[in-house]
Amino acid sequence: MYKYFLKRILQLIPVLIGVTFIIFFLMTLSPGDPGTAILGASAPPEAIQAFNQKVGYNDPFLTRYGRYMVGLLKFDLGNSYSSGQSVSGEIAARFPTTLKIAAFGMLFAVLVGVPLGIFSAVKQYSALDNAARVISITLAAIPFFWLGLMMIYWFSLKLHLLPSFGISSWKNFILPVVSLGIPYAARQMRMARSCMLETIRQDYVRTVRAKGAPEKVVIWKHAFKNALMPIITLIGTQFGMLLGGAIVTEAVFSMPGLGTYLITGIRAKDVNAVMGATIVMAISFCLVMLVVDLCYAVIDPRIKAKYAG
Amino acid sequence: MDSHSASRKRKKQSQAKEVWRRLKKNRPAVIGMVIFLFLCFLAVFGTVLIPYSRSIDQVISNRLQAPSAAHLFGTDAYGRDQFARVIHSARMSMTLGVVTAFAATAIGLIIGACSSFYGKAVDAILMRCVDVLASIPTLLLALVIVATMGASLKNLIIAIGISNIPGFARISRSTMLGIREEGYVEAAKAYGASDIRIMAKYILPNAIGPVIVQTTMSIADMILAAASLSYLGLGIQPPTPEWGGMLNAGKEYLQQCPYLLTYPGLAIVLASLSISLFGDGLRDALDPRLKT
Repeated sequence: MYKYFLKRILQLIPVLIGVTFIIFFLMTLSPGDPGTAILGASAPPEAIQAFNQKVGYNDPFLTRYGRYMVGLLKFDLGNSYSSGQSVSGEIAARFPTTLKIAAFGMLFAVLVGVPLGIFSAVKQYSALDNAARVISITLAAIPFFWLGLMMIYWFSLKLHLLPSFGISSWKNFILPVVSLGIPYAARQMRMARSCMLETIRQDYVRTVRAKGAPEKVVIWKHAFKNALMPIITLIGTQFGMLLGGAIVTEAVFSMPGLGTYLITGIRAKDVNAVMGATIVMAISFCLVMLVVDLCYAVIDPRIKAKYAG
Repeated sequence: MDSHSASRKRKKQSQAKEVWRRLKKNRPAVIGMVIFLFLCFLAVFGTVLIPYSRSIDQVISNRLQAPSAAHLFGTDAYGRDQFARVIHSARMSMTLGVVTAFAATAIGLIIGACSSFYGKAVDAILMRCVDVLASIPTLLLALVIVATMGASLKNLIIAIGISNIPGFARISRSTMLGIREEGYVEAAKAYGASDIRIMAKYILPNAIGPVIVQTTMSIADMILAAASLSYLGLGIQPPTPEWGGMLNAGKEYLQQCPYLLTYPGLAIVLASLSISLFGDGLRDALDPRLKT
């Protein structure tokens, strides 16, 4: 199996190069140069030119990209145009907040969505299944940032139960995580339900039932394991959406994470900050997708068999 | 020749009729479709029903009024009628959702068709590019593109469109891969049909089902993405009414005037929900085997 692991990890390298290239390319298209951004528009043009020359802004595109990549390998993402601080330092301080929101949002979505979906599938067409279907399709349609705003109104402003901004304690994370997680829990539920329904109708499930296995064993040992693959795929792709969603959630709850850093950077035309934040998020998404791929190998005996020996 | 084309026409009609018959029986899908068509109607004729000036003209003496008979959804900080603004927002959101979904579908179909039809190196190169594009979270990619190009309706469509291409390219490719091996494609090749003719005439019509479902569903995601960007101040710029932008403007008054946030949000939910219901029904109608 280590062969499969190695293959997947090696495949990641061109993807990462491509991802950083796209982001670097897009950011060079944005108007403005570091000299004007750092020295100010009123600085003498010669000084701006000299500054741009010094930081290598006038070099060819590929040279700059190469230099940026070498810096990236050393965890050096350059300095912010607006504050002059090291971008990687800022990101290291802020990334844990974003990661917590996305990861706990995902955890919430999986822990609530998957069991409900399986339950719904096992009791297909029952009153509970119908209710769960109606509720899940409605919740999946709700914009999570609006849900966050409504939760702030009810739980922070009206009932004074939970804080509506900041990251000072674990309580600050409850509303962001739940508001971001609910629509994704609904999607997980729908996915888990349809996968489970498909699996339950397979011949081997009927065989297990015919052998007289108790219902619990049929569902959890035989059906669930086979319905798991698409669910895990969805978890992986959803993590990307949750990372993107965390940007908006941070803005809603005024949390100093990578998302707010990115938005402030965009408003200040701080190219280095925006690029650093975007690249770090994209890389972490790639790593999560890698983990998902590695999970396949553990779960799916077909992959194990293919790479055996 | 005449009878041949006539019989083919009849066949086509009956298939569309069959899908429509199945769709009609699905009550949630019909409700979703009616609401969706109603929102499209508002997008086109909203300014005829309610003058656009009610969304734009500032009447400071009217500011921050609670919902009443005169202002069903209340008024905002500039004294603008929120009801008119919610209605007029449909124009931006629905245009964006529908245009972006169809543009991304078209490009995705072309990539998928070339990839599956030519295979080998073409397939490898196109799919690696799609993989790379898909490795950047959608909202993040859209955000960066808008940040680079500036916020406007056109740029939002480009940004959200590009970030959704990978999904369409993958689904078109996988559907078309199965069709490429069919007998009728081989027959067309044998009598010397050109590549483009084979793709457009034989492969595309048979692969379009799953893609159309994906297109429909993605309209909802695109409306949500556009609303998120507008909420961040990077989408449709004020004073043009747009649901996400209205939420952004209203959030400062959350405590005193929650109605400024309730109605635009509910409008987004309605749009997105109607599309999901319709899309679900369409999938079941196009392929009854998938029905769960």
